[in-house]
Formats: sequence, structure tokens, C-alpha cells
Amino acid sequence: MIDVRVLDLSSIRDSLKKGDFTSKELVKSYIERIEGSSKLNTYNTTTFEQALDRAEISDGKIKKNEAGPLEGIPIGIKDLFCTQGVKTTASSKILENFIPSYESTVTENLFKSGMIMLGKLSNDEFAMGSSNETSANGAVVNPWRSRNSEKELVPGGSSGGSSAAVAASLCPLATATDTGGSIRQPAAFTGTVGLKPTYGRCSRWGIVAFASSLDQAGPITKTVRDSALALQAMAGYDNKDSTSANIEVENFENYRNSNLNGMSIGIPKEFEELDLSLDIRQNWEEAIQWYKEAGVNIKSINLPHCKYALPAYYIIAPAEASSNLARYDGVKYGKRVPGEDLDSLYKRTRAEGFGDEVKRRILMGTYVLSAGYYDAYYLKAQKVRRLIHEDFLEAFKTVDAILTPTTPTTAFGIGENISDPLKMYSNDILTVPVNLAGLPAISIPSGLDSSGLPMGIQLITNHFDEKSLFKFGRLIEESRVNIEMPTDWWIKK
Amino acid sequence: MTISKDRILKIANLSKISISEDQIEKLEVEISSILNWVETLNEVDTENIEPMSNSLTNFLQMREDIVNDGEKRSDILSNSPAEDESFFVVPKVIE
Repeated sequence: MIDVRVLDLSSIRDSLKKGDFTSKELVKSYIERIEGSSKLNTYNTTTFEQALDRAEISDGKIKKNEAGPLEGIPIGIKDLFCTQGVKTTASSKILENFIPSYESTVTENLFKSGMIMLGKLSNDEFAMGSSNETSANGAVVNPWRSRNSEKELVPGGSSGGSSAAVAASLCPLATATDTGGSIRQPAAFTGTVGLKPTYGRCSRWGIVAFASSLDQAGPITKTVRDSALALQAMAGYDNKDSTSANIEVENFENYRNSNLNGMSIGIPKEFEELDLSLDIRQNWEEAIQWYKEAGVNIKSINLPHCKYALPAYYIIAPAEASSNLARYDGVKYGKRVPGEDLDSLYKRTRAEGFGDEVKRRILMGTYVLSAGYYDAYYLKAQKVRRLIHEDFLEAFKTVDAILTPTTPTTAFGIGENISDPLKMYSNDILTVPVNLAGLPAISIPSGLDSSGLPMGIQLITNHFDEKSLFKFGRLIEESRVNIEMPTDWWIKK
Repeated sequence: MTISKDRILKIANLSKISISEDQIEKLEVEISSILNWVETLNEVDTENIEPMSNSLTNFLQMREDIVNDGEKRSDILSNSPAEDESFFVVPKVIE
């Protein structure tokens, strides 16, 4: 068996090309590791047999020099992406038996590049949550634990299955989606790299919709370089998504030869005033120092409306969700609970099919869109959204990137915040403004806190400037203390 | 701002979700606290600001209104909880 713990996407790509191992050997090694890692509860569904068949095809292509750019490399898919013929549940009871007859554009792009799906990864139900505890399949466990502690921690959310799987080396790349921080926050909690591309960069077609004006797909990987490779394969114009941007996908891997000297980074004053843990604050200051030493100009900037981002988000996102989730009616697909008439069929199906957090957001969204409240809540939030967007555009007139922590704290215990929605929502205070403005951002592991848990730094750039995220992000990887992998405490021998 | 029990029942009905008596009380507390929190938006002066529904409005494009696939009936019905011939089946709506 191959020791997949030491591998990442780009090293696998090189090894397969050189013939160090075959795709089939690689897939077998990941399968064995996934089977020993059931304690982490990362995969909702596995597709091992298909993966082994596909690996054989890939090995043939590699031999004949017909390989795609990521040929024969295994991948985990967030269970929010529709996969043709493979169950897609959004980790909800209401979709527990849903088998799509079509493929999402992002997964289609990845499979075309030669990647092989190992299975579907857990997430918070319909991507609503920051801890992966709202999944109908139960909580996902973070492979990281505090030093000298056996307490189980959350992997973040909503892409917690994706982040935990990459951190535990159960796949070298996982797809994820980010509506308010759902890629970056779990990446920060698990010592992985999480990229939320510009809104419009990756097609949303075939992704189970949560809040359509905010949702964006992106990769979770072990390194910045892998993130660039993955985005290359995922991105591109798609006429099936009317918000897909018809702009060129550059060669993202080209960031590697660039110099940061003379460029500038903004530090938002308003973020300094937030309630951040001491370790996170110190780590942020450390990161600023790394850039100074690389010749980057550090500027203090103002994003005056960002403190309103979270309340605006918790009006806009539930409003869009209440509308998007109206489609789950027990009639056309998904779960049905019988009723004596159509109305009770709808109501019972949705009562049994949705979990508490999803219901709360549907009700909240219905309320803010209902007659008499629409202007006061929904329209108001959309106006504040514009002001937040303008704050960022103003900032990018004077800086190339913005640097903040990704989260106010490191990973917390399973069960600790789930009963207090507002406390859970506050996890996303540093990530949500980016979604409202449609900007790209990346979370990169930047160190360990005093109890040995990973911390993440967030870089934000202007629309469609993902390349600068990689360019700036590389320095964090080069400057931070060495982050060892989590120990294999969960492995069933 | 607090939300009344009647209002909770009304939006639950609009959302087509049945809720039980004990859930109503919990939701009253939770939704009221979320509503109180979002009230902070009233501090922001939004006079003459256009609402923003999408960060990339200039990318939204029109396309030709043409049929580009079809013959999907069996695909569409394949996940249906109840069907008959080529129809979705629901409880009787009109007497």
C-alpha cells in the first residue's frame, strides 16, 4: 500500500506521470484508509467499485499518453454536487434517496480532466451550518484534537466532510461550496487550504442551491499549489448557469515565479475591533510581519459597513433559501410523507424531511419576504449589501489584497455551540462579507494555537484575481512553523 | 422586535411546514432573538442606495430561447415518489 499521508495533488500528478505507482494502486490505498477511518464519519456514500474500474481506464490512458491533466487522481465530492447515477443527498433526509440523472458542471469538468470519485462527502444539511453537526448522517469529527485531550472537535462547516477528509488524507482534493464561509472556515479548522473563487468563476449548475446569489464552488486541498491546480480544472464558462462569467481561465499555476516586493496588503481596521482569540490575533500580527519582510507595503484600510455583513447575510441567505427550498414538496423527487390532502402531504413531508436549522432558515426567510416586512428587512439588507460591496471596491483602489484571520477561534467541541444559533453564526463574521461582495478569498493554514489546533489566515483579492491569492498565499506556507499532520488516533487497525 | 405565536403559525403555513406546539415556543424565542439582532441594520443610512441582488449583474446575459434537449420524461420521473404512466401522482385536489 502507498502511504497516502505524505502525498498531495501535485506530487500524485507527478508520480503517476513518472510511473512511481499506478492509479489503481493509489485508489486501493485511499479505499483502505477510508475504510479504517469510519470514526470520522466523512463520507455519506462511497463509490469504490466504480473508482477501481475508472482507475484501470486511467492507467491505460496514462500508458498511451492520452492522460488528462489530473488523470487517475482520486477526489472526494461534497454531497451537494449532483453526480449522475450516484446518490446526492445534501445530507438531508428529504433527499435521502435522490439519484440525479445528470452531472453537475463542476464534477463533469473534474472527471473530464481525469479525476476519479471515491464518494460523496458529508456537509451541514443543505450547506446550512458552521460545524457539520446538522447533517442527517450525524456529526463529522475533526481529525485534529487539542494536545493531551481526547475531546472530539467539529471540522467546521458546511464543507466539514470535505475539510476533514483532506486533513485526514482520505482524498487529496475535495470539492466544497461556500455561501458565507463554508469552504474557508472548515479549512481553517482542519489545517487545510480552502479557496472560495469569485462569484461566477465556477458554474453552479447541478449544485443543490442554498442562496443562489452567494453560493460558489471551490476546492479544499493540502497546499496552495494544489488549490491552483484544482481551480484550473473546476472553473470555466457554462451556458447552463446564467451567472457564470464568460472570462478566460488563466493558467493559475503560473503564480509561482512572482515577486511580492512593492505590492500592498490592506489590514481592515474594523476587523481589528472584533472579538478574536488571543492566539488568532497574534498569528495575524505574525503574518503581517512576514509580508513586511518580503517587501510588501502594509496599509490600514477601512471597511466601515462590514460590521453589518452578518445581519445582512442572515436576511439575504435565508430569504433565498426559503425560495430555493420550496421545490422540495414530496411530489417530483425526494422523500414523501403521505397526507390526506395535498396541503398536508407538503407540510408533513417538509416537517419530517428538513432538520431544525433548515426549518429555522426557511421560516426566517419566509418572514423577511412576506408582505409588510419585505422592505424593512430584505430590501434593507440588499442596500447594505451594496455598501459593503462598495467598501471593498474602494479598498482595492489602494491595495492588492486584504489580510485577515479566517475565523475568530480555532475548532470547538462537538455539541458546544449547536443550541445557540447566534453564537454559531458568529463563526462566519470574517468570511461572510466576501460572499456579499462576490470576491475571491482563500484560507491558508498559518500556525497552531497554544493547544495545538490549526489556525487559518484569509486573503481576499479583487473580482477574478484568484491568481494573486495564490501569489500572496505561498508566502504563508513558506513562513509559518511546520504543521505536522494530525496523528492517526481514529484509525481502526 | 418579538414575533408572535400567530405570526409563527402564519409563516409556517406559508412555508408549508407543519410545526408542533412545543416547537412554536422554541421558534418564537429563536426567531425573535435573530430579528432583534438584525435590527442593527437600521443604524445604516441607506437613503438613495440601490438594493444589490447580485455582485455580477453585468455578467447576466440573455440567450436564445431555443429547445436544446428533450426526451427526458423517464429521467424526470425516475426519482418520483409516486407516478402513474407519465404523471406525478398526488392526493385528489379537485372533487
